[in-house]
Amino acid sequence: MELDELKQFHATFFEEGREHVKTLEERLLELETRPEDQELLNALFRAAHSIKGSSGILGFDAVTRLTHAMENVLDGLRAGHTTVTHDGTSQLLEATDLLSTCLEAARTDAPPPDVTQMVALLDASSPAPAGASSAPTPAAPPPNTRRSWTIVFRPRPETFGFGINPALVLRELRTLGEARIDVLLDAVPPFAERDPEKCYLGWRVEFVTDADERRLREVFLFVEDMCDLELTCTQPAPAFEALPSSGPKASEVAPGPAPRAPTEHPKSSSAADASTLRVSTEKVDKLVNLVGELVISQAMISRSLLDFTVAELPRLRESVADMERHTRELQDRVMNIRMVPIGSIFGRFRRLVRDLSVNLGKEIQLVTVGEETELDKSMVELLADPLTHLVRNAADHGLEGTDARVAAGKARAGRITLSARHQGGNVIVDVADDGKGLETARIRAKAVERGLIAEGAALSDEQVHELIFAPGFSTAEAVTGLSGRGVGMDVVKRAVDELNGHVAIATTHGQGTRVRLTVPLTLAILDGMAVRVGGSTFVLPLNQVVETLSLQKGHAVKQLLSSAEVVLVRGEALPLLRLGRLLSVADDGAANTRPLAVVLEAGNVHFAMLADELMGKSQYVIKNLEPNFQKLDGLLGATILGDGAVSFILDVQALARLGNVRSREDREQLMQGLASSKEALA
Amino acid sequence: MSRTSAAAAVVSDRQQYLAFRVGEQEYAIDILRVQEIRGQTPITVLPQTPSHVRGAMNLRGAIVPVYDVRERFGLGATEYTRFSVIIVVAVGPRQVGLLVDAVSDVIDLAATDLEPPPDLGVSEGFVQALGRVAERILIVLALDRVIS
Repeated sequence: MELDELKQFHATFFEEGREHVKTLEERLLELETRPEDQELLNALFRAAHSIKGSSGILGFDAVTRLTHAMENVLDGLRAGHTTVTHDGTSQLLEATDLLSTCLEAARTDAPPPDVTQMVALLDASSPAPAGASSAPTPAAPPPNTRRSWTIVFRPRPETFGFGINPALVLRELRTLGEARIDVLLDAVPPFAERDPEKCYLGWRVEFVTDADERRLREVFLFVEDMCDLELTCTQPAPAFEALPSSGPKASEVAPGPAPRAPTEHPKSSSAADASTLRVSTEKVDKLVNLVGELVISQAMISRSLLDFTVAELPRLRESVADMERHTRELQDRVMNIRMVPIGSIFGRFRRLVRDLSVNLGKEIQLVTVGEETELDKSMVELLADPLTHLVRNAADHGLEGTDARVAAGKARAGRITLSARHQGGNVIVDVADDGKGLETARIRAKAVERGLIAEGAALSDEQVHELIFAPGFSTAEAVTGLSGRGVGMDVVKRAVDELNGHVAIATTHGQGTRVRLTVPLTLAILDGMAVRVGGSTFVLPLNQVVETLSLQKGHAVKQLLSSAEVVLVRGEALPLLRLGRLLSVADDGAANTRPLAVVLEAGNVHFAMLADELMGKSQYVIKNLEPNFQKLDGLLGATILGDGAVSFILDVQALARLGNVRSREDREQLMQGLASSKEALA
Repeated sequence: MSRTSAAAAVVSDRQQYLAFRVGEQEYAIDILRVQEIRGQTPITVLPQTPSHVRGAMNLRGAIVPVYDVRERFGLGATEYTRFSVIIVVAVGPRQVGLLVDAVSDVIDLAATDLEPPPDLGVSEGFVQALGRVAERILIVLALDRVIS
């Protein structure tokens, strides 16, 4: 039980930690453009401080040490002892990365990475290398700043309810100097009226310290919304002037503007989180209402069925129509809950581009458009990797060096544009650069060299450009640390294929390249076409269906070998697959006298599949087989049809593989190979 | 402490089993694994699976595979009639349907009613034990081996 609570506490810590790390990263990047912004520095400091506090309690030592060092640096910046520099933010960003690693290690119970070096680096750049004390004392205050203060600290009654322990605040205060603490009992009500969960006490602290006011206020940073706080400086410090004029009047300090911190706290787009989803109460309320209405329509249907007469029929129809409408709306809204703005991953590319710019020595500007475009949360996460590849590629291969750009009469800074928008049930994400564009001739030469195409094969420029998606294709002259290892574009293609989407590339020589990813809004619902094959109904992803042909109308089916058939479509011979053979289901409708061929495309491969009947287009909810069974080759998953029966969604890519369908180029090569081996045999 | 272990002893001593019939033979499975029993339900053939996987059914929105017990034991495919019964069982985190000819009853078997399976060198360890009640002989199935 206790262990469970601890686990829960840990889970909360890691979740908050991730958010704070994200805040740190985002704000650090903003800081580069607005180095003077005090509010940014405050936000940064708060994030580091929060992690430090909780990690200390939970005993994650490495995290505590690291955040403490970061806090020192940030404090120096905040106090104006040091200034924001590019190197400085780079260092803090690296520290943030390390922090993220530390948190991940702590979460998975892995040994924490060594932070000593980073802490030393940070300490070197913080104004006053704070020692082991838990309080980061700001830049060496001159000794004559010793002053005495009167602090009146009155937590609000509901303080305990927020999990705040005032005693800890007082204890932290005492680490800063000599304190005499008196309890203020005047607000305590008579015994009978006391609520044991309320805080009625206040404290008056007479305090002598070297620390300045800002440092003192920091102690109260997390309780300032929750208390009345008066800080009064009772100036002349005894050490300086031997005049202990204890009159509490000198420089009255107005109580800090309390509610500044939380309102500014950045949580705008931080919705993309590994395992949790933040949903607005409004969305949930709407769902609750809708479920209520659904229950009402259901009750109405039940009632009209109770003693049903024909006269009831119109009413029943109406109720069923109501229920249909509510169900559809419920479906939409439930899907909507999982929708997050794509901006939540665009954010991370700002960091990536900054790092790339430093590593490659190119000036790069990142422009993002359509951050608010919403799509399914898991889709957003799955897009992160392909997009990273594309941004890297654009920075590394697409954009020229600064000199080359200037020579070509372009702006010094290369520009990478990430944009997203909705189109029908799809989301289109473009990664565009204004670099040199693809070099068609070089790609062609490389493809010939790699044996991907035959020498002198007749391909259009577009077809040549598509070749960069072939596995192992890279034209980079040097293998750099970033990309150009010959992986990348094919990985992008595979990842997008797995999302039921597709990739297209457009390029203009000398002006840039644009890679366009088109993906469905969600992985949970599929636009599909149902076809009957023998006694079974299968669903095909609609975006992979090219056309359907009636085989009666002169589309000749040719038997090549005992197991290989082709159908002639406008002069082109497409392999014709029979599901029965491919998937070892008995019935493949071979007996049908009016068969259909459904032409399918999977990447650059086209083929036809024999079917008996088209059952229509619809949206299908994708159900995985894994929970109760296992993934089956040839199937994307299952779905439930209108009549309640189970049907399977075919994986067109896998069918092509199972049927040994090759791309046209492959086929040509194979034929050449066959011819030469025949000769050898003869 | 002693009470709980005594209770546990009772539980392990007398256990309830669901008895069902495949052909002439009666089988039994631990009743705690049984989630529900369904009459005739549409089954869709699952491609790319061995013949003892009869197909998949829709169990309130979940896709549940159905195993043909008779075929699994190499006795030929079950004829699927309106008397056929699907027993939905839990195997670890999975839900699986067992297609059988008929469900007989729920029986109590004490540890003394159970005998280790005869060593026939066949049947891939499907038999966990043989249960004897009066004149009946039931084959107690090792579910995890049957569903693998």
